[in-house]
Amino acid sequence: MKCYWSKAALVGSVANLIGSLSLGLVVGTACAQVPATPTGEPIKIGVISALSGPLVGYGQPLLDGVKMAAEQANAEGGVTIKGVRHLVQVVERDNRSDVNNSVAAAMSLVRDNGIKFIVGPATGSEVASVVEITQRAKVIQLSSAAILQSMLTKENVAPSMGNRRHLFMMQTPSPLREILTIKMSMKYLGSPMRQAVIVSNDSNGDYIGKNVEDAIVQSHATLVLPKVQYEPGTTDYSSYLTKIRDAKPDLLNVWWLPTDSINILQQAMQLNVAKSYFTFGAEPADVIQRIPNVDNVLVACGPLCRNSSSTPAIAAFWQRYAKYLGPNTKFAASAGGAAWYYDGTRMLLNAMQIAGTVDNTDDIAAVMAKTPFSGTLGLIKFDDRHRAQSGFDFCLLSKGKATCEFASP
Amino acid sequence: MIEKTLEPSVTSTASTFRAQILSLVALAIVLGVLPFLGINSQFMQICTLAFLWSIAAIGLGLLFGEAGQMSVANGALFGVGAYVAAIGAREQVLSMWTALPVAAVTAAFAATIIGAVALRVRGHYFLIITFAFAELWRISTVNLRELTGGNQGIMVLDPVVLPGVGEIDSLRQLFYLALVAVIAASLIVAWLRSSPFGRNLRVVRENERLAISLGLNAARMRLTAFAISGALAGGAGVLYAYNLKHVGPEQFGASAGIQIVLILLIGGARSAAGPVIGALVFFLLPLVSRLDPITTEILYGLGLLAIVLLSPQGLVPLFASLVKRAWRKKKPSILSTTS
Amino acid sequence: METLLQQVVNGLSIASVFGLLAVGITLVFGLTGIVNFAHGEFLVQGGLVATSAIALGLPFPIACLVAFIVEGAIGWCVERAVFRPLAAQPVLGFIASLGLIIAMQHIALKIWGSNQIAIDAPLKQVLAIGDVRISAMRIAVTVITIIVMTVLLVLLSRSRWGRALRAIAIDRETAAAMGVPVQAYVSATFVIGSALAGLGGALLLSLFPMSPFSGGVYTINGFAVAIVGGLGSVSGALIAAVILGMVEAIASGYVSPVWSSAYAFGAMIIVLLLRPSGLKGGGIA
Repeated sequence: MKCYWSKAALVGSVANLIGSLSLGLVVGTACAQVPATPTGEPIKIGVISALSGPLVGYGQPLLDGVKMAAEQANAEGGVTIKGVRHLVQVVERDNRSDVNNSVAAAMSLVRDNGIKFIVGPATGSEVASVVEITQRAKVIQLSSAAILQSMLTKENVAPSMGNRRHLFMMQTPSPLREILTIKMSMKYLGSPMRQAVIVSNDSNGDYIGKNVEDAIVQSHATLVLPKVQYEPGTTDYSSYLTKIRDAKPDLLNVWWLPTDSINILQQAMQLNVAKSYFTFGAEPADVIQRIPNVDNVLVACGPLCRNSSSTPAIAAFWQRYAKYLGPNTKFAASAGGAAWYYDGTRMLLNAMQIAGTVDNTDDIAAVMAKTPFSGTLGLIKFDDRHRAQSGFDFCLLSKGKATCEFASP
Repeated sequence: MIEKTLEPSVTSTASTFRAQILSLVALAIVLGVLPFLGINSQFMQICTLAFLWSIAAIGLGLLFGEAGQMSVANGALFGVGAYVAAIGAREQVLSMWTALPVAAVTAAFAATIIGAVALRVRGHYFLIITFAFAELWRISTVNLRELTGGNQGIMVLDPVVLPGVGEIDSLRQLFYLALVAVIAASLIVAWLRSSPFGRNLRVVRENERLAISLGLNAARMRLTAFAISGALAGGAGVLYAYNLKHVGPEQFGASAGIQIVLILLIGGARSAAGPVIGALVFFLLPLVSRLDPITTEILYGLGLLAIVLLSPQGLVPLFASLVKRAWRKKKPSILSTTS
Repeated sequence: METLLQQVVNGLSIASVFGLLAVGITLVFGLTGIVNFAHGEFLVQGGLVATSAIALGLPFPIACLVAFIVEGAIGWCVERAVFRPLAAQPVLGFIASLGLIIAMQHIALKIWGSNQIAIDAPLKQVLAIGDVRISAMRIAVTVITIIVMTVLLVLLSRSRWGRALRAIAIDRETAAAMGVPVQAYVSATFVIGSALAGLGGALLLSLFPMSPFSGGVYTINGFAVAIVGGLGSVSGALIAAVILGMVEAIASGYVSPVWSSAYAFGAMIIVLLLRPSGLKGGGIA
């Protein structure tokens, strides 16, 4: 804010003079205030993520999301708490897709660097080992790993007492997510009554498979055969798909690895397995490119489809992400996942602001657990087990064209 | 120049054994002093895990270094031990200390089964069969869900209790526990190497016909070596489970077996201190890089290549020979003794 | 009945991919003794190179040729720099190939990114006979695989190279003593094996997408098939590919899908137990 001392003082009449002098006084005190906000210690947010190795497709978007949130906060002047400004600093550690490095990274961040907030790892059972380290040190940890579902209970997140009360799961847990997808399938694909499921045989797949089965039954459709689980790394699904075809389903639900879903879909359509398909994780643009006149397919992204604009907030997110990556970098396959961490980090900073502290993780966690946040993914809130409820992008593919909607459970 | 066989000579001498003991003592002192030099938690944690992996490599050192059979199944045997500990803790029937012998025996038993099948073939084929077994183990731990917890694995939250001391929980205490374990394992294998058993193993490796004509049961000796390597890996697996507090199937397949092989060969398959050094290099090397993670991995892969090409016997023998050469240069009048 | 027929067709289709993977390995592992666990990386790299060639506007067959040549060239470099110095101890070659895997995966990551890459299949039709369906591209890949294997079979049994390789595989020292330029033939075989891997990758790309980390599964399957068929035997690899492909299709279709990848390993173990040289091992072609 510029100070127009001299101009104000030169204005003519007495009334103006008095008015200008008062204005000048106001301006003066305002000018005096702005540089006086002290800057405190930066808020350090640690990231443990796969920045190399096979899980890099999930790990890199995690880091991107956190960094984008940090950059945004800093551009807005940092987080101001009790009159002190704190900039946000991201301290990253590559876990090389491996549990030993995850644990060492956790030690480095928590014990050697005294960091109180950790985001990640994104996936895999190694999260469990990291949780043991962070929770003992009362470090707030955010992750979307499926294994957290079984690690978080009502009792162990109880405020002041629960030994996992600083742990938060950023992904909508099963079965809410699966119930939502079945509901959307019913709505958009003409209420398919006979349904089947194919899912990967890994820690996410176990949960998802069972919950899709349950959701199908709950919605009064018929599960025509038990879920079929394929070994991760499979590229040829024809024998699994033929088995499913034999049971004559109306709808085949394809979950969950983004790298596999589109492949399964293409092979399923070649084999004519079902009348319609639902898939989680494939990008609509990729599906349309691979199967030009694709029809009767509902695609859900985790959580956002690339470059989607289902809501203004989502469109803004993708613009921000494209700008962050620069012109020469393409989006990773699971780039949409960055939204969980972008929103999660902003939720965390918001909770700090409301709680009025940057070190009391008990207070910050308590606030975070009960404060909904309006983010890219709509209104995000945690259930009583610290599991986030947020929505997903759904795109219906008809005759090679996609129409999308963002839906929340 | 690469010699046809891994030296030294088949018959080991007392001085070799002494040299090995000395190197282990030196190693124990150097490593034992580390926490007092103010190393940080990350380093201490990595060292602890490295020690446990190196115990599995030490066992493999007996199988490969002495018996000449390279196996990638020892990662699965490591996993057997870890799962025994985890399941024992979950069912509340085993503490860490009771799990140790149970896991060692179970893993030795598993090794015997694998060996009975795999040792019928040699060299490359043996390697591939052990690979197949390792992957079968991994697939089984994924699919036998009631027993193993499936993909979610099992959490191991019981504390480690030292009789007379109480719960040991701090990073430093766990570091020393692992250090004691790895030195103990190294001593056991060094002793085995210098024993008649070790000597006979080497004869079997170098010249099987001669061994048989001397009345040695080659098949049984190899199997025993495999079982011992299994027992060591299994015991280490227990400590590993209690350190990481979680076991999952992805950790113990063929890739874990390959990791153990790498650790052994980087450090030196026939040397006492080799596996520990190899493990430390394996885990610490990538951390040294200031470059971005992907470039670091590229350099790491090339670095492994370089180590294999430039020092096929491993880093410890390379270092030892460099030291000897420097010593000889310094004192040319002293007649060099073979070791 | 039609489901069974479809599963048979599926099995043959899986078999053609297995054959493609195994052919390079059986040549290299079987005849030169080099244990190159990075074989799958050569394959994936070939596929990724092909995608770049196609992105530059080259037609698919030319892209396959480019992949063939590029991977052959890289194979030549790798053989000289890595496997030749370690020839005396193949286990060290195996270890070295592990370092190679890490390096190759992450170089590919740098160049092509972590995303899976796919191409528009040159043939998009799906043939249907009743309820039995198969895509035209799979038929094409199968046909090409058979052609490649046949060419190799003929070369190995008729040509000088084939005769020399047989001699080297049986007794390297005597072959050298008799004037066979062992090193040259070993290098040439490795180059051809790598080139075949590259070609295989390009062909597979028409069926499945690939990412820098897809290689591991291909390596394992390739080794399983090569071993069951008998290392060094192309016809053995063919037979083993059919057997393992059918086993996988029938087992996943009728028994238990979650154990399906275990069957290849189980088969490998059983074969190695009962007949260590594999179905047609002990000879060549």
